[in-house]
Amino acid sequence: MYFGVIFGNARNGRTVYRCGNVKKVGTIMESDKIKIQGNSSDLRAENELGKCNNSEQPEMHRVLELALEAGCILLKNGAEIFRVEETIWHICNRYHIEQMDAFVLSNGIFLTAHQKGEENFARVKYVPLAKIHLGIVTEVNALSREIAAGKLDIEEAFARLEEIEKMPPRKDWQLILASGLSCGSFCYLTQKNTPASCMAFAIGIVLYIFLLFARRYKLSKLIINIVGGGLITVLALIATSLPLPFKVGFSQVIIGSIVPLIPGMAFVNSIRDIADSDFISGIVRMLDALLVFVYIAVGVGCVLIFYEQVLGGTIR
Amino acid sequence: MIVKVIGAFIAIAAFAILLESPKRYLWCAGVVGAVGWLVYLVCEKAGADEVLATFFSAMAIAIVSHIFARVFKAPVTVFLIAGILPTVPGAGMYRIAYNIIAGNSELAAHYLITTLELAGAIAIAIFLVDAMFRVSHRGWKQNSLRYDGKMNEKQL
Repeated sequence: MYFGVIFGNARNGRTVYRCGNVKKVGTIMESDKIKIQGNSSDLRAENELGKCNNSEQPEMHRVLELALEAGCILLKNGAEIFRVEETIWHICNRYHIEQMDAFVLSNGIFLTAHQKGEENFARVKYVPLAKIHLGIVTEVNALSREIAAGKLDIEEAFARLEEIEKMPPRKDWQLILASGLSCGSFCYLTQKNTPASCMAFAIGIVLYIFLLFARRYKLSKLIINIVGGGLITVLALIATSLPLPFKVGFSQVIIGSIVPLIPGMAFVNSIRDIADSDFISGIVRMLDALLVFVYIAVGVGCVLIFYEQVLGGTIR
Repeated sequence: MIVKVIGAFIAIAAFAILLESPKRYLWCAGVVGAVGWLVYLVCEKAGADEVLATFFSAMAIAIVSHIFARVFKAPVTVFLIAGILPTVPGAGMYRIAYNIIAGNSELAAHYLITTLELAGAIAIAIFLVDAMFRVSHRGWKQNSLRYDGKMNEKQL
């Protein structure tokens, strides 16, 4: 029997070792009959042989893929930059990957890592803007806490992540009703006018039906907001010119029904990103919020111009 | 006033549904919004102008949402994005567009400046509260993913 000698380190089950006169790289097989020489300096090798048999340490690229996936899901569903960075950092830290760099922008993640003499990992992930889903953000956040506390092993974490990503959005009728409610009560609390709130409720419902329709056909943000702004203006004009016994101001109705279009998430996240000194992403998101405001104003404005100057109506 | 505060509660909880917040946090978002609007109304009654009232209201909203985030161990945005909504100057945008069309460029400029002031006030309020909670004893970032020993025990 001739026995090999372990060089290098045996983490991840990837080991450089010599078996006979042949140098091998890879997992040590029992058939290779490695002998651990009995010097004190070789005790380290023995330990590492034990480790690679247990294979407790997952492979580096799996860990980094998990981190990248979690970060991507977070970013897509409207988390702040620092939350994404911290999540990636915590997952890597939990699985002992120290030499790791993550750079997160508002629509991309850059992740590189290396371990001495073993593997390198570099990945750029493009993250398209998608619909906001704070439920997913909450769940991934909780998952990352559990991983950091060491309660999950990596395959479980992958399974959980997949499950979270498939979390369905709410049912359409719930969203539509919620939109109506928020328009109506927002109108009430700023204007204190019950008929106006009822109109805003109705307009909110119609607006959200349009928004759902637009999302299904993946219309661009520009179109959605301009047409949405125009739509609420048309509806508010119709509603206020109905012959009703009570007086309703046009602006009262429209201030309430504009609510579902307001880019609250972009606005808040941009502020918090800038507060965390993630200036690039903060400014991109700020611009996003600002443009949405401008689109809405353009939509409202176009309809009003048409109404005043072509149809010759007056705005109440 | 009470009716208005309840109105704010409903408006914000409904808006939180639009943002797909988890069901168990909907009422929290509503409470955040209600507190914010209450502060706004109180400030208005005390004679503060719109910008100052918005500033205090945004600050109250941010503080309450940070507290909720720590209590429920959820991201602060779940509460903050919905809660901040009543103070966001959506109406200002409409007024700017309306006055430009009506030909009152002076009024439009006035509303533009007011809207920017309001947005700035909200931003500063959020900055301040973020900074405040970062210095406070429970670790630095909101809803910190960092663990100290005690928090770990609690979680288990």
